[in-house]
This record gives sequence, C-alpha cells and structure tokens, in this order.
Amino acid sequence: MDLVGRCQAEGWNRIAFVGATKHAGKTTALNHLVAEAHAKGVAVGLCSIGLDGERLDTILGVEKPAVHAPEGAIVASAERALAESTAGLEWLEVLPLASPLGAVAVCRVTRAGSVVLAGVRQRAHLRIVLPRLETYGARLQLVDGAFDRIAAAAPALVDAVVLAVGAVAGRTVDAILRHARPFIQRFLLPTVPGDLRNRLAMAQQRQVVGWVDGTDVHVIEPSGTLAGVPHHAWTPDVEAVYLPGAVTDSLVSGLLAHGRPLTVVAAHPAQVLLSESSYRKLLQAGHCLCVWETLPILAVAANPHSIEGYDVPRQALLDGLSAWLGDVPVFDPLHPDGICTQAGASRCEKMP
Amino acid sequence: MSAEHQTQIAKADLTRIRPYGDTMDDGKVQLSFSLPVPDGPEAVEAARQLAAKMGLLHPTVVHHEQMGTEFTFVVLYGCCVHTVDYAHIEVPKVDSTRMDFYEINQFIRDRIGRKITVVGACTGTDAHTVGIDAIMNMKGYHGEYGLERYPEILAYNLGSQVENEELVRKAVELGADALLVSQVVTQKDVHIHNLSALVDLLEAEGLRERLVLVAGGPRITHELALELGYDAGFGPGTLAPDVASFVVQEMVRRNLV
Repeated sequence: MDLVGRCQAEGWNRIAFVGATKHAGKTTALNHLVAEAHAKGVAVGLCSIGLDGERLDTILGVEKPAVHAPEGAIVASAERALAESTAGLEWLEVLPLASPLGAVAVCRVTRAGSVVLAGVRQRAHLRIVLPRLETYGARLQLVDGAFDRIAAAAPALVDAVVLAVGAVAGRTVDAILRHARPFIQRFLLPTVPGDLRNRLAMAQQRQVVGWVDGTDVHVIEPSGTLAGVPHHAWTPDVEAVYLPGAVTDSLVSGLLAHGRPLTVVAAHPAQVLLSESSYRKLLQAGHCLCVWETLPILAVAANPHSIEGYDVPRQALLDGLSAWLGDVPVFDPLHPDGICTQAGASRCEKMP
Repeated sequence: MSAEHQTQIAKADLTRIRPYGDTMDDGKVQLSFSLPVPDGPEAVEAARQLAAKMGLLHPTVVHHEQMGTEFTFVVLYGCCVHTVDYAHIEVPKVDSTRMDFYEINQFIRDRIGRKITVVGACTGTDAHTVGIDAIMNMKGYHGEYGLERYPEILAYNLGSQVENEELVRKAVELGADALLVSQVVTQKDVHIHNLSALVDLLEAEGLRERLVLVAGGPRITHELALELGYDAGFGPGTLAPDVASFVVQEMVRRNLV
C-alpha cells in the first residue's frame, strides 16, 4: 500500500500524526511518509504542534529520531529552533506568531538535513501555518504531534490522521491494544444519522449545546460543554444531544441515567476525551456516541520496540490492530513491507 | 606551585567537560542507591559490578549499611569516562525580562490597563501544594510576595487534587487570563498525562488561545512545557516575580489585554 497514493486518491492534503503515548513512533512514521513523498516528487510541508526534532528526549534523556527534511520541503518553525537544524534553509516569511523560541518562520529546504520543529502550539496556530505551507508549494502538509495530545486531529485543520501505537504502552500485545482502544475508538465512531443531523443543525452551526426533545430543538449559550449540560431539566423525550466542546467522563456520567436511549453527538473525534470505562458505561446504559464530522485514518503506525528496551511480537501487534481497523493500513515504519489490512472487514463488527 | 600550573588546573575545556573530584577532569562521581539484598560482601560486590556496567571506572564502595532486613544502602565512587560539549549546549529558557513586584504592577497598569486574573492549582491526584503556594500565597516565599499580594492581580489558588475539568470550569467562571498548573508527583510520569490532557481539554473547549498557560514543578522544564503545548515551564527555585513577569509580558505579546 502506498500511503502517498492513498492520500492522492482520497484527496487528503493535510495529515496530523497523533500518538497513543509518548514514544509511540509518531516522528518515525512522519519520516516514513516524508521519504515516500520525496521519492514520488511530492513536496511536503512540515510543522509540529509540540517540539520535535530535538536531539534528546525531554523526560528520559534518550536520543530521539530527528525529523529529516528533503530538499524542496517547506517547514514552519520558531527561529531559534530553525537555527538548530542541519538542513539548509531559505527564509520565506515570518508569520505573525510569537513563541517563546522566537517568531515562527516559514522556510524552504535548500539542502536536505534535520530540522527542529517548534513554536506551533495551538489549533489557532495551525490555522495560520498550514495555508502558508500550501502557498509555498507543499502539496502534502504534515503536522507532527506531541506526547498523546489529540488537539491537531480536528477536521477543520487536517484531512486525515496517522495514528501511532507503540510498545511503550505495555509489555504484551494485549496490554498495548487495551491501552490503544479508546485512543483509536474515537476515530471509528459513526457519524450522526441524517434525521438527527437535520434537527441538530442549528446547534452545530452556532457551536452551542443543543438537544432534540420530540419535535423541538433547544440550545443553550455559551459555547463549550464544561459549563454544564442541563440534563436535570430534560424531559424523558430527549433523544439526542449535540456537544460542541469536550466530551468528558464527568459530562457523560451525568447523562447515564437519562430515561430513554440517547444519541450523544460530539463535534469530531478530537473532542472525545472519554476513558474506556466511561465509553463502556454509556453503551451499557443503552446510549450511543457518534460524531458530527469524522476524521479518516490514513494509516496506523505500529512500533513493536519500546524505548525502555524491550520488544513485543511485531506481527501479533500488526494483526491485533488490523483486526479492528478494517481496510486502514497498519504498518511498522521501520519494516514498511509488512503493511497489512483486513480489507473488507466491517469496522463496527471488528471493534471490541 | 607555579602560576602557569595553577592556570592549567583551573581551566576546563568547555567542549569536553566531565565531573571533577580531586583534580580537574578526573571524572570522579558519587552514586548512592539501594539494593534489594541483605548487607554484606556480596551486596558490596553487586554494587561494584553494577557501577562497572554503568560504565564507571574504578568503582569503589565507600559506605554500605543495612536497611531493614532485606535491603542495603550503598554509597560508591567511580570515574566517568565520558565528556559533553558544554560550549554548544542550548537550552530553551523562558524569554522575558524579570521584573520586581512594583514593576510588574506598574506594567499591568500601563500596558494592560485592568487587573488580570490568575488561577493556580495542583492538578490530578497531586496533593503537594508547596510549589503553587510559594507562587500564589500572599506571604510568598524567599523574600518575594506571592501573587495574592499583587494589587493588580486577582489570584485564585484552588489548592490540590483539582481535576482538569474543574480547573477549566473555574477558569471560565473567574474569567482567567492565565492558568498556573503545578505538578509535583511524577511517579510513572503521571504529570505528563495530566498536563497534556489539560491542553487537549482547553483546545476542545475553545479556550486555549485566550489563556496564558504555565506549568511548574520539580521535573518541569521550559522545554518540556513547550512540547506539551504550554507557553512556559518553571522548575525548582522559581519565585512569584518570575512567573508574573512572564505572564504579563506574554499577555501583551499575544494581545490578550
């Protein structure tokens, strides 16, 4: 499976790399896609929503993989981070983005080498950076992640995600899969059914909490969900609720006792911050969780080696993930020939 | 001893530094650790072998004592053979001018034109408030007033074991300009998860860009905080003016006035 070809076939130009944990293998997966794009003559744009390409890990002190930028790549990073890069850089533009490491600048790579990516820390920053990468010719714009942060995986920002799952999460394949389940699950949630979509459209457009009560639709201001969902005042006829902000354990626990099956609609996968147990309780209570807008998974990168010094069986990890993921490619970036999919499998049937 | 010899001893090669014990560049280090075996010659030899495996030359156990019945505490000397290039190390540091109590309040009056609201908490299961108290409490620490004493700062210390969701709710309710998050307990890197989860929560609620977000604690560095998506990180020895200086200047830099 060629991942760049998959992007081109699906029309995906902006890809976020998100890890189930730190050291899951995000940067290695990013480097794999960068090399593949370069081999195919596709110019890439690179930025990170954390700090990437620094030589040593900030916690363990061990060496981290460098971010390799080929000639012709466009990078956005903070000035002092760019000064640490070995790649040759042509300065194109300084963006109106201040960071503690200096202003964020956009550069073209004139000589291949490593780059340190920093300075872009928020979704709001990505909204500024990504169009600029595109303007300067990056056909594929890649956003590396940080730790287990999910924020960059928003449909308004990117077209698809690469999820990284690594052995650092557990010493057995089962333990790694258990840990990865809620992380992956959010990207496999169904989208809101058409009739509810129509009735909740007003809430979604205004980005406020809204619920369907029989034929009536109610909304409350302001935006965000942590300020509270007034479920105590709901009638038993409420059948669906749209949540524009974070969908959290405490919010869901307040909905469990609702008297009839409830469709909980999150804005998109990155708003779902639920633990595995809360998700299970929601389903056990007869409710369901879906998203207004989903975000496709380009691939899942599986890393069978833990930075703590042990390995798990590679094929078992790949197979375990493939069993959930249907036709989504699952691969080890360091052994890319081993890409496997369960083509044709139904995602819903395969989800535990 | 000749003057020339004294100069030779005193000057280190900053591109190749290593620990210093009795004489410059001798690599001497001291380690202390506990082994899960009773004290005795075998425990001493185990400690020595372990230090050799760590790459230390001439490992010598200089102190050992029984701890309970099954453990031995060991102090050991050895020589480190590695060097690092100190001259070319660059560590990201908080880039703001440190002001004092009076300058910070005047800066707020002149450049922001209103009182600012700072909400601090020790989040997750962490019950250690010593760090956040040193920054927030009126009496302050080490001769510096805490933020509660600043006339231009409305400071709210939510205390310990505050869940991220509760912190975000209070931030909205109080109209916070800045959040200070303290993480002292770091077993199994639980602080990392708490800190990154807060950033994702703020993004999901659409609040991140409206706030200055600061992390602090004994294992927090500025570099780590940046990677987590915070605006700054402060480690041990930080005092209220360090944090307040950064917050007010960052507010102006980002036009959060």
